[in-house]
Amino acid sequence: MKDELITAGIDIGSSSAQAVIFRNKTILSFSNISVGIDKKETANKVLDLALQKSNISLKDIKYIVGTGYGRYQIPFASKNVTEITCHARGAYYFFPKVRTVLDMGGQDCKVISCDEGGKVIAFVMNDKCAAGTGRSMEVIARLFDIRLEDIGPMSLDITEKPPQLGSTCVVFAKSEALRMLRSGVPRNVVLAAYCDALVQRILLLLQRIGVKDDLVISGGIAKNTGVVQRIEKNLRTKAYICFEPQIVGAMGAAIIAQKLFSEQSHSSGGKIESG
Amino acid sequence: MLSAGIDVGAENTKVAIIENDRCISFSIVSSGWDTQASVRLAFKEAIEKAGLNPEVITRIGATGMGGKNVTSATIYTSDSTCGARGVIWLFPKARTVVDIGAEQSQAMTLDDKGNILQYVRNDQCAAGAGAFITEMASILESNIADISQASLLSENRIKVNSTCTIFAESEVISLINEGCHKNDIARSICEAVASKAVSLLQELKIERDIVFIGGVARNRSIAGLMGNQIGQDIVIPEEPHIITAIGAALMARVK
Repeated sequence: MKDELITAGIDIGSSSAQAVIFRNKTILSFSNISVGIDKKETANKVLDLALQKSNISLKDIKYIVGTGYGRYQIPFASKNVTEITCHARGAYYFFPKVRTVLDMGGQDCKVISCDEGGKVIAFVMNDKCAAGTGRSMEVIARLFDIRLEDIGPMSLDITEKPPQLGSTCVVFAKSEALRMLRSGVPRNVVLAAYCDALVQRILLLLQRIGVKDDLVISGGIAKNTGVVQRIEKNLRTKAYICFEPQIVGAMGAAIIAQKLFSEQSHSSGGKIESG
Repeated sequence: MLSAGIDVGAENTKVAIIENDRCISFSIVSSGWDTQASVRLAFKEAIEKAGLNPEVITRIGATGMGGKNVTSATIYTSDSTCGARGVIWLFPKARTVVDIGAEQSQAMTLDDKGNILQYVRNDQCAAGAGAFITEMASILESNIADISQASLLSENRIKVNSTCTIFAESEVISLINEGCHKNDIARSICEAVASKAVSLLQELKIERDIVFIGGVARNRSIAGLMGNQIGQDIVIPEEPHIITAIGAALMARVK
């Protein structure tokens, strides 16, 4: 039987968690759930879910790498690797020409610049300010009583130029949005103004590192067409987004798990059965 | 000489009427989303309290976020200049001003005439301004006056780590769920605002007397915590939220 190296990557973020089960170059399965109060439980749950979707069991997995904000609470991980490294590696798997990764998570936003091999050169992270994070989208969705996935399409469905919000702060932007709504500005136009303001904040972060093509966007907000299109328009470039942008970190972790397992086998002189 | 000052803030619109060397009346009205309406209402209230006919006021100074929309104003001046002028008029020994409103916080040093020497402002982030307290108060199901009262009764110090209002909201919810006492949570909220104000002050070469103005100065706990953090006494006017409007009225005299 051909030796099949099966690894897994687990990414425990502040809002959501993902698991990817990887074999050779194939994604066998993946899962994406909300993070609960107990990170350990979340880690077990997200991996279980991925296992259920595949037809392998836990013992088939040779190596597991944990990453993300909650990576120290993944009891079954063989190693933890930073989310910066994992996101770069994951983006590289999907788009080998990547040089800049913009990851917009639930409570943070990061820009990573990498070399032609997906290795991190530099990065900058905002985890102090809600603007440009998933949270900023949740706030406006709640205010307007719409779903997260509606924000993008609604913000793009406008015929007039939206007014400029005075600030990128989510609290101020929310107040201004409310004032606009009450003074009769159409909902979609207000949403457009709000998205414009938040994209300004994201662009500031991008400028600190500098954007080099190809630009890959990952994380939950990559699914927000309103934000993505505004970024593309401002940077005059195309952003590449994989089929499930939230698994990029876990993807990178699973790939790094392969490398770490190989190094481990070689260094311990372990036998690799083949036949 | 009679003049009026109108300070259209993000949250509240304040009007002050001054005559010769004192403030004879003032009013405060929620700014809402119709600036013109709130300005008219606030002006009417102040006029009535002073027992005057509106026509006798020909000098009107406007200031604040929405100040440029006051059509009846004879002069518009920045809120920092108005704050400085208002403070020095009432407190001739003032040399440092801290002004915290709903959506901005600023600090400045003055000369003996109230001219601004050094200046620093934050109006891009809600944390450190009144908006922070308003958001937290609603999570604690209290009003902003309660936050000050509760904070003064606190016996335990807990720290809120998030510097962002939105993230701090989640932290506060966790603290509530963990069973922390409302008074202690209120205090951590006040400490957070006080710390931000102190950071601003530390950018300047401050000198006494230090005067604290703006709506947030009505929160006595914050004033006390600020004073503790910098090791100096802080002077708070009786009606700190109208000082900038008084300054605007003073500017209207000049023209």
